[in-house]
Amino acid sequence: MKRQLILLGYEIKYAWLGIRRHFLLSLSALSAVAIALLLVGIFLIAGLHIEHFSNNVEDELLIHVVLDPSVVDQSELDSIRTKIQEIPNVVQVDFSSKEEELQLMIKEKGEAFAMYEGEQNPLGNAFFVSVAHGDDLSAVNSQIDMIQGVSSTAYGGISVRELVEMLKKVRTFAAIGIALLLVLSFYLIYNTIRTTIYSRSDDIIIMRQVGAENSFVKRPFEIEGLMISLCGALLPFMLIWWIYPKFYETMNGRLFASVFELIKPNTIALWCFGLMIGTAAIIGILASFLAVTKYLKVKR
Amino acid sequence: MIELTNVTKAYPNGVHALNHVDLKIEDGEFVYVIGATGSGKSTLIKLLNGEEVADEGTVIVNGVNVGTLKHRKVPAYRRNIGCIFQDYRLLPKLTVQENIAFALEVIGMSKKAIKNRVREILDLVDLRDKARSYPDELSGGQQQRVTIGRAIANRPKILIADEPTGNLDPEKSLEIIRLLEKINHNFGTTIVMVTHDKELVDRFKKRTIILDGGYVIHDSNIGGYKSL
Repeated sequence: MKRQLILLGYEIKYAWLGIRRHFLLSLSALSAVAIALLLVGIFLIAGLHIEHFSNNVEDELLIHVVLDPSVVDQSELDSIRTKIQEIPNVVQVDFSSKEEELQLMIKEKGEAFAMYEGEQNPLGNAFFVSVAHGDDLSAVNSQIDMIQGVSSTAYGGISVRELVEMLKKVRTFAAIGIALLLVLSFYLIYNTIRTTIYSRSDDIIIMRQVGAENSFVKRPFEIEGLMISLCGALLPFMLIWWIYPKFYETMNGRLFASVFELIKPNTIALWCFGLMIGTAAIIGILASFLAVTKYLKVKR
Repeated sequence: MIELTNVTKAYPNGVHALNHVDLKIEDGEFVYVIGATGSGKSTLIKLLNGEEVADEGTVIVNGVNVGTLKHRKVPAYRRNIGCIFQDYRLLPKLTVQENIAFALEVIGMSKKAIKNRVREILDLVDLRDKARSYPDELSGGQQQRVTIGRAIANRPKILIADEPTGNLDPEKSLEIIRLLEKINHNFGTTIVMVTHDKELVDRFKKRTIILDGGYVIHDSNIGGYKSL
């Protein structure tokens, strides 16, 4: 075990020497990985947000039904409630008194509306109607609109939903682009390791001559590929780690006129770190392993 | 001990490099192997260091049958055989001490042990003052001394020298042969030296084996070309 650790130390040393010797080649592979993973990171952040927004929109399948201020009688309220409940696809109907409506308005639009509290409250009572699916919103809304005593109806989410749908399409195209970039990164690392193997053929002969085991000959190349890809991942990760919190702070945690809530920087950092380092490690190990297997034949 | 019994080696292109060679070299011997180009000298070296396997016969080195040696056992076997070459084969990006240490790093020796061993070797090959120099800053003779240092760093029982003086002037060649004699004398290392240098063979008389067309045509303890 101790010997293996000592050997690993030397293998890392020779991997580093390999990178130094082919610095420009290593740099080009590293840059490709960095650019690809920066895009992966941006794509990940966008993807996480699209998912986050979609969930929020799904949670808000509500129609706000405002009644005429004249509708105050309990029997009238019960009658309207029953009519709404009878509409197909209506899941739940919750009553919101005009006092509660005013509190919502104060919360949303500011303390200035507090002056209407009490007898001067001009608002009507209301219902919050939940529907089963987003597609039912429009139809249910029209039917509620026709009930006598209903002053107005409103539901959010149409424009948001369209935006989310559009972003999902963009996501598909972005995924294809990123996949191509990852293939390019893979090829560049593969090529770097192949070139390193060729240029170090004399070293390899000497290694074998002095009794190096095949694993000692091969491993520095594999470590070199891993080092290049991990460094390539670290740069865009640091960039995102630095920029995203600033963006979050500037936007005050919300996006599109406060419609969407942004994901917290720590969550983003964790996701980016895991995905970017994981992707880099897989690309680096796989590309260098394949290059070593193909171009560094085991000889006596 | 090195023992070749009825060894034959042919290459796929039909060239018979060695034919029914019988040879025995005792521990601690210093032997010259001479012969024209294509006489089988290089093949003999490849058989001894396990790079090639004989088609017929057996090659026994230090009690190990090299022909039947499993692939994974070859590296350990090679640690007992040092090799030096006409073209030095040093690692250009490593200093003198790093080149010598390289042979010890591949076997997983600790840094501290390597440091001590490298110091001993540098003293032996008289290159202590050049420890931090790179190969291209050294003369041919100095580079060959580094190669010898690297070859004996593992304290091998056998040292194979393939034309070690081929690129050197007579004065430097003398230095190298004296160094090899010193290693042979001080450590009892068996030395098999392939050479074309008639002057050296005549001056430092040792057992001399001559190969011609893959056959051993002469094997004498008297030594020297003039004795032929």
